Amino acid sequence: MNFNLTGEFMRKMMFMLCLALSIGWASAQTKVTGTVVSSENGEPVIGATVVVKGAASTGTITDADGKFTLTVPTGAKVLVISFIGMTSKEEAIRPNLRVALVPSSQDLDEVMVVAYGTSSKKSFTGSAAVVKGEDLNKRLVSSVSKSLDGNVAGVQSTSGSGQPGSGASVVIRGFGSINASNNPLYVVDGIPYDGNINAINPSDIESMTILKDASAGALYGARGANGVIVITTKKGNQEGDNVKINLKATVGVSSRAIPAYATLNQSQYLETVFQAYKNDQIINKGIDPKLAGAAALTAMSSTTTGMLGVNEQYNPFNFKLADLMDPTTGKVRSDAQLLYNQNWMDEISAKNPLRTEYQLGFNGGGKKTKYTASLSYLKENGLLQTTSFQRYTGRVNIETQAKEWLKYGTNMNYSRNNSNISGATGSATSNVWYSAQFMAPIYPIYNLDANKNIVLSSTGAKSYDYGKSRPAGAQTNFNSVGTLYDDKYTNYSDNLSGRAFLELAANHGIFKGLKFTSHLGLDNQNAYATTYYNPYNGNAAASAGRLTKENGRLFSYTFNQLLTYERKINDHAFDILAAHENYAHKYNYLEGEKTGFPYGGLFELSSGSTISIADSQEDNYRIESYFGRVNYNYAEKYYFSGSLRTDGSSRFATERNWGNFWSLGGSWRISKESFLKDKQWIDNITVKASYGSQGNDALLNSAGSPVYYAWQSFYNLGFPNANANGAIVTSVENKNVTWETNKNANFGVEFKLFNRLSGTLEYYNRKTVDMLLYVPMATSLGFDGYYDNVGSMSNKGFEATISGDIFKSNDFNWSITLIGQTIKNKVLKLSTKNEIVYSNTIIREGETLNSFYVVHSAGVDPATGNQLYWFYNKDAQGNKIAGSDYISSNYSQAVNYRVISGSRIPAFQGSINNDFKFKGFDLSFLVTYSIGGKVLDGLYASLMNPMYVGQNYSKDILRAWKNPGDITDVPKVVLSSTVATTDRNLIDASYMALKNVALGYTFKKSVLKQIGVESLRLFASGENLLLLTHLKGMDPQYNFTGSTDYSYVSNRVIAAGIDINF
Amino acid sequence: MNFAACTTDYLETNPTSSTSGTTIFKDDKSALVALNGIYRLMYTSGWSLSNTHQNFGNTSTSLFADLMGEDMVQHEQGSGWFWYDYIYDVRRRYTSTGWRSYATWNYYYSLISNANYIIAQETTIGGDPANVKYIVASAYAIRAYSYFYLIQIFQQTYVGHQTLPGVPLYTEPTTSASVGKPRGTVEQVYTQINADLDKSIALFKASGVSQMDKSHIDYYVANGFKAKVALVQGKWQAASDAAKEALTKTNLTLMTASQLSTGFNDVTSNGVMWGATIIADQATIYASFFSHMDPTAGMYGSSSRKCISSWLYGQIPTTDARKSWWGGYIAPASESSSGVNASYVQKKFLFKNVTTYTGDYIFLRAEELLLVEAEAQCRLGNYTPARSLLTQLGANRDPNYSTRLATMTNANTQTLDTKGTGSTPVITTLLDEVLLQRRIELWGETGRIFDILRLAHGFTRNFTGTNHPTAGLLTKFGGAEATTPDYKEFILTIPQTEFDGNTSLTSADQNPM
Repeated sequence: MNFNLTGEFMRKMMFMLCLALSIGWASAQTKVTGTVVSSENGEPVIGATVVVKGAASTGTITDADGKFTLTVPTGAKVLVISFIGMTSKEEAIRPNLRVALVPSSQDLDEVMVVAYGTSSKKSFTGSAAVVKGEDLNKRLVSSVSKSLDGNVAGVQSTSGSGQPGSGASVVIRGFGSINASNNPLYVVDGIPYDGNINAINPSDIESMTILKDASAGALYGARGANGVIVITTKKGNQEGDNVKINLKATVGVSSRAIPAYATLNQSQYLETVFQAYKNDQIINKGIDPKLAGAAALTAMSSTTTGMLGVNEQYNPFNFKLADLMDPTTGKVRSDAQLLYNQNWMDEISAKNPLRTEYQLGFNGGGKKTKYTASLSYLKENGLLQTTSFQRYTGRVNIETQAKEWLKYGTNMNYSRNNSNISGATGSATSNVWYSAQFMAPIYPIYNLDANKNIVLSSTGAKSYDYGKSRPAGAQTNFNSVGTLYDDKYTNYSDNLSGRAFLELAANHGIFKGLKFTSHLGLDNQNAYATTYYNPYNGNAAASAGRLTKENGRLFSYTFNQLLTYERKINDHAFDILAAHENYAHKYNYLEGEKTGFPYGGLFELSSGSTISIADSQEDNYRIESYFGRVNYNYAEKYYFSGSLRTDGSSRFATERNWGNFWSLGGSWRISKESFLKDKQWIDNITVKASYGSQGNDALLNSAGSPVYYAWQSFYNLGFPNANANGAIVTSVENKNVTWETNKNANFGVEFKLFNRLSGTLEYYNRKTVDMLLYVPMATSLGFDGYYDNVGSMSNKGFEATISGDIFKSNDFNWSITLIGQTIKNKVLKLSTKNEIVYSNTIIREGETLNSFYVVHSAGVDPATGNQLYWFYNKDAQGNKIAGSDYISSNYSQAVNYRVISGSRIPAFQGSINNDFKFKGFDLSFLVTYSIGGKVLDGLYASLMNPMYVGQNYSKDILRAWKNPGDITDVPKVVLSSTVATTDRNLIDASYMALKNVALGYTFKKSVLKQIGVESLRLFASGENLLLLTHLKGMDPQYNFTGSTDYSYVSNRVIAAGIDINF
Repeated sequence: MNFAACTTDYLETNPTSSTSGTTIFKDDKSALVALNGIYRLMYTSGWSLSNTHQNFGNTSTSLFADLMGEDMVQHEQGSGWFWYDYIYDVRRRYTSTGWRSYATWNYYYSLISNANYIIAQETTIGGDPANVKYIVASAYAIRAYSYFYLIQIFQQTYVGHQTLPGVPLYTEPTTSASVGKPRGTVEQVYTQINADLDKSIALFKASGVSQMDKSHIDYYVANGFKAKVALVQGKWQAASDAAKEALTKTNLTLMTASQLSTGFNDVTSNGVMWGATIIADQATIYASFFSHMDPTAGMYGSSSRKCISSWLYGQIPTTDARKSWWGGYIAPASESSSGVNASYVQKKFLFKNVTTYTGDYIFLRAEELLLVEAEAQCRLGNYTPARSLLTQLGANRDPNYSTRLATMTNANTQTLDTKGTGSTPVITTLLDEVLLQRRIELWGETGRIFDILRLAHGFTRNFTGTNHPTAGLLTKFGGAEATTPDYKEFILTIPQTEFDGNTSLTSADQNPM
């Protein structure tokens, strides 16, 4: 059961509960009456518990006016008055009492949703952080995965693509695995979630709890090793017949969050290419440097190279090349004028694309039933023309307390997501983030006439220049702008998630405290994707178009039965859980593709002539589990918690598919001890520790897709030879493969002092053992490897969250939250060989995962302009002999002289969050920062060393070596790359980002009452407002391994809106 | 919905697209599925983890191996596919799973491991014993074929290098307990190849089953392999005998005149002994041989034209029908940056149907074996049969061929200045003529670098009037080195993944950098 009891709701619930409990109370002799009020405002406290000390069964609760009447037995001396969220008080019994309760440190009593239940913060022995719905409400994110960055200590996040509707990747406490997933488990309303995260409307979320250590997450067994993100949606919380209606509307615009790289203008570009051709003449043709300039101009203008097209059609200046450039200086003449200037990326970027979001919510209830319902519509247009995301969501949550002992509820969410995306990736010409972004500035998008004016049709339409005479690097026979409009990538998905529960609770008699709950959760996702290549130009011109339809259907359910028992006997309080759960996941995939379309704009397969793909498959994955937990505390001073889960997973062979996961945790509220009790300035000090093991079975293949049958050796039947059936062996059997286990230790201190300074300091040591590794095999055995449990890795770190109320008054409040964290990752053990080497990275025992492994630059040779490298002598084992370094220019040998050169993992990162309140105004800003770590920015590297003629260069290329004697760090420009990746390509990943600013004004209730409005807030918010990095254009948060790719730039959103409640 | 969680098979899930080894080796019919899978691999793309468009099985090997020689010109970089093979810039990329070293190694060893699984079941497959023999014979031939290419790509030629490290040899099926083998020697690899071929030929003969499909190896194709291997080993008699035997295949004739102009995308062309029929839903589209070759399709071959070297083109008499496989000289001003307007552009290999991206792959033609036999006879000094074979080949190619052949002297020495110092080389000896005919006839099919290695003469692209682009002139080799017979750059580096997983190898076992 997921209660999420906060504030007013909590109080009212307690009132109800106590009413129920009062039935069995005994009658006695002395009558006491009194009033309980809050010390803060003198308002009556409704539902406060008043009991006789030492006779807990004799008591009552206060009524709606805070009053109580209690008949106490003779001899009773003291009453204990308590209320959740307030410090309990003892009063000597007098006939008439007036008791003022002091609000306690609220966050301690706050109830948070944890694994299979709820817990008050003070009793929780594990490590968890809560992000409240109200904080999410400030954010302009379509997927909640983008809201975690900077909000929770221990979480690392990528920036996420700017593709509308897309999310970000998140890891919690480092990288636990090499070949299995590092993604946390998402749990929605108590059930592991298989749907799209972006199918959840962030406004429906009441809270998110991030479970970080074993004590918090071990109950998720085989799937909890990477941490758990528990999302809890809103519930009905209105009393009586009250119905609250909420309307929220937001309108905003997007722009690039990260600026484009600084690239060359037309004359700089021609001068740089000239230099490359000149160097080519000298190096490859042996031409005298004095004559090379003239030869370079001839080569540039030749039709064969296509550099300037036919008849210099791509010369953007008003002089022919021979007159334009001086062969000696290589400079464009100063009086040259540009005849056209067309920027490909600008042309396909939308100007101020709109993001609009509307939501309507209802929250109501009667005596027994409470409900919420919401509808929302989001339309987000992309920065890239043609891309967009539309989402329609509807959620209904109903809970009924049918009988005192019977409660049930259902929570259904439907979301329809429509995406228009830019489907191509990497260095495919149709990927405009590659082709348009780095197109040389001399090439026009539209056909030009001899005078370099855009050719217009009779209707005034422009036509695309498909560049049949452009060089291949500038996309011969391709126009990425045209392709963007003429091709089509769409994605529709229907997402249905349902959660239902039934709860039977015994409130009296010998079974008092015993509760049986059963949950059924299902996630159904039906995704339908269309990829269309037009028959005229681009990718599928040769085959007269190509259309692919893909349908993926995912259905999964979780069914569990939980038995809980909760009792408090004097100072001993305990609750016990025993449960069974099973999970089944079924995925069906169907794909069809045809070529040969009679004309363009036909988006259904029926129009195509030839079937090129007809394919389907099914995958199944199941887990069965038994688990239990015991929580115990003594006098709310000493807390212990233990949990055990045994999981069976279909991913492993029958002999090895059951595993045990467990945790032990304890905490000690030192501030409750007598020696600190008197210190009024100490509100709380708790120390805690936990240890346990969690599992990870989420094996991935090299493409990052799940592997469900890792242990099996199979003949894959997908290899027919023409019309004869064919099969090949695709994997090696290893029946021993089983879970990877994370052994997590957590130590923490929580404190709250002076009622205004609170914080959590934690240290964790997360060690992965029996690591799921795709154990490298000799490729000559026909396989690159097989899955096995070998190796180990550790992640250790400190986390600190400190919140303080800097200024507190009736009119003005200012609070700051500081978050800081460190991660140290170390690969402890691999397989039989101690390293796995990649192109620019290495996984080696004793080093950080995915360390950069590159040759070190020794600068640029002033004599030749060649890049120089530090080589070294090796001993018989091939290891470097210390101090034997020498310099070489041999780029083809450089690969053999690489050294470990850092990794993406930063030394320190965190955030600063400021909240201001002044009368009705509220203002907050969230700054995130990261210090240390490196990025191998492939985009920048390709701008410094383009693979093809026709691609633009970074402005930094202007520093390139040109003549003997030049001292510079940029080697000479050449036509065909002759440099190896060096540490010069590693860019400092440190950054500071202004992640979010939110400003709001809440109208006074007294004003609103007159117009029948309960609350009204106007707000403006900005997301990804500013980013400071070491290199303009680089996204330091592109991924966790420190590479970059040609992909949709992340976006900034600025929006304003209104939030109104009736 | 199935809530029966507690049943024993709840946790046993299996992929829907796969079957187990026990099922597949039940009988000859099912085992044939495993064999056909291997043949499918021979035209499947995806042997590298990136750059998959330049890795599509047998024909990608013949293309990169041709581009490593001097007879095929990559007119321009285009999208960069095969360009780095052509300009000799792939060896240093051995640490990447996206380049030639990994793709090639992975490809042939995948064929080998699949073949080993079949061979291991030789005695246990049920069903028709004749068919079982045919299947197992095929697996032996596939293994031999794969090792033959591996040893040629990853080590210098056989003659003179028998004791150099070879490639790891496996004859057992791979399990997770299998351990990587050391490189052994070149001699050991050739011994295994020959043993496998002998076994294959014997089994094919014993089975009496004839070629089930053009994509299958049969008795004659296996003999063809034997001839090619013997030629590399310099075993002229064996080469001649095997080639002669291969050419006894029923109804085998040479390509007709019309097939010579259009037949290189069709396995039904005369003379085709082994090749793959590409059907529409198995076409690899951009990642296909014709995508890279066809300059008219608007695909990679259009923006990165494959051309014949102007020198070799000049050697083809104007009366020779094969001269039309290539366009002639076009003045630079008339060339365009894409399409057929490039000097010496190839037109031998064109899509059969570009709408469906289809065109068949030819892996072995009678003409190649005829040239093997001719060379072997010539080497043995049997000039008459050698001339007779050449006459057969020339007959429907050049009406003046007999006149040309008559000018050749009966000698088995190479006099042709393959280093091409600039003077017009004159074809004088019969051996020169056989080797020249190989270069013309088999252009784009067999991988010129393998002959360069075998003939131990190096090459130059910087001949007078060269049409190789500047980057292809290999000035980085410092001029002379490319002409060295066993120059280190002619063979590939072994991929890093092999060192990562093979406990029998250290980085010292890498080919010379």
